[in-house]
Amino acid sequence: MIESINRVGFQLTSWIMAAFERVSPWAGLIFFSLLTAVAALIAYKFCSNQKALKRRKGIAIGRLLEIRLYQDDLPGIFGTLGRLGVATGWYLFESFKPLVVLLAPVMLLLFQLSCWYQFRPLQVEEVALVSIMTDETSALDELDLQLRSSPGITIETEPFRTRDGREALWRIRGKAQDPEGWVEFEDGNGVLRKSVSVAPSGLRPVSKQRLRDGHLVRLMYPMEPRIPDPSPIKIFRLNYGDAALYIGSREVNWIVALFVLSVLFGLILQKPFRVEF
Amino acid sequence: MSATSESGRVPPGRVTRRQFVQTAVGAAGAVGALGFPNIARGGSADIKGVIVLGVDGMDPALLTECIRKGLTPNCKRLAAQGVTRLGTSDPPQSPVAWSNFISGGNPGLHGIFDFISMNPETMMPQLATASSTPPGFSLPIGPYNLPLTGGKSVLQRQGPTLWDLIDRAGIPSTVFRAPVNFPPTSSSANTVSGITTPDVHGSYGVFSLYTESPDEKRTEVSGGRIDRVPVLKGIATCKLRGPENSLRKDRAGADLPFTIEMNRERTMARIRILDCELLLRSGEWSDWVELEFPLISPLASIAGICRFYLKQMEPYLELYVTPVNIHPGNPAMPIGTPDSYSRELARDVGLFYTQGMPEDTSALSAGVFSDDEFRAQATMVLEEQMRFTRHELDRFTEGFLFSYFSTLDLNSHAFWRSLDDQHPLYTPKLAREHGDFLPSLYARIDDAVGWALERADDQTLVFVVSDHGFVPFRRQFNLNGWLMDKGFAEPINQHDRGAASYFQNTDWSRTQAYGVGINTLNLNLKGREGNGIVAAGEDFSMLRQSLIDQLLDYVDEETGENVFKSVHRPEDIYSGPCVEGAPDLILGYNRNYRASWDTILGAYPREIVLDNLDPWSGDHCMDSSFLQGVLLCNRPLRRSAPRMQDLAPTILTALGVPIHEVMDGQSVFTV
Repeated sequence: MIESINRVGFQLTSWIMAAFERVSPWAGLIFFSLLTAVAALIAYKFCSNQKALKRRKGIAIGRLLEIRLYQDDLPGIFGTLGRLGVATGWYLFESFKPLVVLLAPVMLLLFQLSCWYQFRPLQVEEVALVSIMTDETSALDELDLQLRSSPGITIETEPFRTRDGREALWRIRGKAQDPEGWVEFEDGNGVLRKSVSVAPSGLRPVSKQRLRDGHLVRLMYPMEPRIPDPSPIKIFRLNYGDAALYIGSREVNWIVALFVLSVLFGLILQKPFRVEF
Repeated sequence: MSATSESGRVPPGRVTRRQFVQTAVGAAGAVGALGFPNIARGGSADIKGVIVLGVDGMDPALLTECIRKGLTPNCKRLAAQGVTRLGTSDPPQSPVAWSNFISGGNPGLHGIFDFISMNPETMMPQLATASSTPPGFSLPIGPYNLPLTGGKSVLQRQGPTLWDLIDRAGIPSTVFRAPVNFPPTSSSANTVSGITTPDVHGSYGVFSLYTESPDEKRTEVSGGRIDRVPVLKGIATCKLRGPENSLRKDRAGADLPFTIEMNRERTMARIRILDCELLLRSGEWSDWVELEFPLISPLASIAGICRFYLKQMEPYLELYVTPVNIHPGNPAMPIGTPDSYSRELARDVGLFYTQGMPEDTSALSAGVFSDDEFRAQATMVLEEQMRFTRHELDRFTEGFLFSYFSTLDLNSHAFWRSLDDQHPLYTPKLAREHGDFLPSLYARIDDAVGWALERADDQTLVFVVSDHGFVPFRRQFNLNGWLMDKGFAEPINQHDRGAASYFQNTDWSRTQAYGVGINTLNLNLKGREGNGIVAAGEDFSMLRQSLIDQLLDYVDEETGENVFKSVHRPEDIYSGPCVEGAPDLILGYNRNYRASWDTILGAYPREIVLDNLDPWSGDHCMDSSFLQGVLLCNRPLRRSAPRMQDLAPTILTALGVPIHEVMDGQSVFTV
């Protein structure tokens, strides 16, 4: 089930993101913000009591105006603040149903988009660590940890086995452009492969880790399939650098940007959609 | 127009930035309207760009040798008539000389006379190029002291700033690693500060060494800290020293814990700090690591960057960490203008050393780096500076571009002993192994000269500017010890006089003179120094003359050579509004001699002249006549004896920007 959701979701997102691959990363984010705003408006339209929501919102705005009007009356302001809190609570109550409806698809969207916006591909000459983890302390001792890689990647070190015996690491370096690169080793049951993208900065999906366990956690890393049973490896990870989104020279968190843009689009589109939120 | 004279210069006076900018911009406008006669002033009306490669410490004799050997073909192209020697500053220290370059005047104009000066109130040595004031008001909450007003760093360099003048005239300006510009002057030019920029601790750079060696007893060395770390079950738990937490009442350091885990075979180590993980083998360097030192977690922190070098794992673990540099992408202190420029460089080209003197000579002097290790680190620094220079050259089309290289200076300090067979540390083995290093660096710098020439068209001037040359530093002179022997200074405790530094063993009520910094000597003047005893007027003059006579007569008994070539009164060699703040005497050491390491910061060793046994074996803080720099240009120079302060007027004239009245330099294209 999780595998299917991940596969379908990633395929869909990839098709859409492919259209923005050669333009600014903002283009894709703007598109998905618009999509989120439309989805939110539809959810509000059909899953909320629009009349009640409008009334609750009106009351909250009225309380705000009260504070502004009676700003010289300190005891009055405290009373109004209390009433504002109550009005806001009621407003959120009315919004609860559409927000619940939105929660799952928005979370799935965030997990999908994180493949593009959370981490960036390895650059040529950049160094990264590949690690495997197991939950059995002796499991790694029994494995022949010979890491192999695609041509664009150099494996710079022999495996570093941690003292607790649960983890092994290698240092790799991007040698040449290799967007579909990989590293692999024999895990005792067959070849276990992990994607490694060596590519110039830009909008490209990367997968930080490949997991064996945890249904919900696996939703957060949708790009690669689950590590098959009965592998002793539970995590196959590459510590990619963080991707960065800029306004001018200022770095902006992509989730914050997505949220702000979605709200903006929602405000712009609420009239044409005749939706109150 | 009334503010400009016929020469296009603006009136003299106190150089306030606002007045200056207003006048200069007005003058620029007037010049444009009247068709300023560029050529008549020695410039060329067709110049649209000027590229300056500022190569600190390029020595004319060594460059000539490199040209002769064919190592520097691009410099050879620029020195068809021979290498032009460029007059340096008095004293020939980099902050002083580059301030001459920037301001177009002598130290009497810009007020920088040495790396170090004395705070006359506290009688403690201080950095001469910048001062800082703590926040005024703060709100105590629990363990914290939250500032309500900000503290401030102030650049002590006065006078005009070359790139500001160019930028205010509407000509684009980019200055990578601007010397003596921390904190940066307010400007819309693209600048990143260079030499004199501190690390996050506010010092010129403090490295860290983590070792499990039981033989290592030191905890602090000059420019570094050493931590003994126990290794338990293959894991060492360490603390990377962070900056002082100014938000805490106890001002404890905002340290970062990290671990070094070694594999069973001790062939590799995993270093974990914050969410960063590194895997290093012995002898390997990490890339830059980004750090956040928490002040009030998670609300406030200071960003920094450092690199790790795993020196060895057998028989003992030894890990070196560079000084924590100010993060160029998120600077805790201003290191450039506009704020976005250093961020853009970090984003587009990568992280880089922001500390002013990145080659870690302190680690070399402390024996933490071997010669090979220092070479490796210095080479990394150079390649980084080359990468950024290339980046800026590639996008240069017009205007002013300056790029600074520290490499020849700091490596000449460190490796002059490999070329000087009279140096106490010279050995044939050293010469064999490292004698090629300095020439190879000249050759690499020559590559940057080649890039600049490639980039330059016939409307672009290219200058290679070196602020000073180099001479051997074989013998060191304990000025303060000598002053004490001669009765000019008195200790609080005669028996323990050599032990304390920072003038802690000085009885100021009986001390007439003291040396601070490398080339300066001050009298303990009433009304200026906190506990001054020398009266102004005749007492001052007589004492000063006596010191001049005795210093000039002083002979090193072991070599029979005079220790000093010159001793100057500031009024004899400086002019301008800052002369009053100048030291009372400027010392020109003889070739091979320099102020001792101990005397610079106020210690009183008993031995007056001794061998210099520090790898820091070449120097330039001697008499300026030995230490001319280099000036190369892609156009013929007409001035026979150009000086550092001539460059600013030359560049301004070439670009059609009026020269500021207070500049005393002249264009090198005029006779």
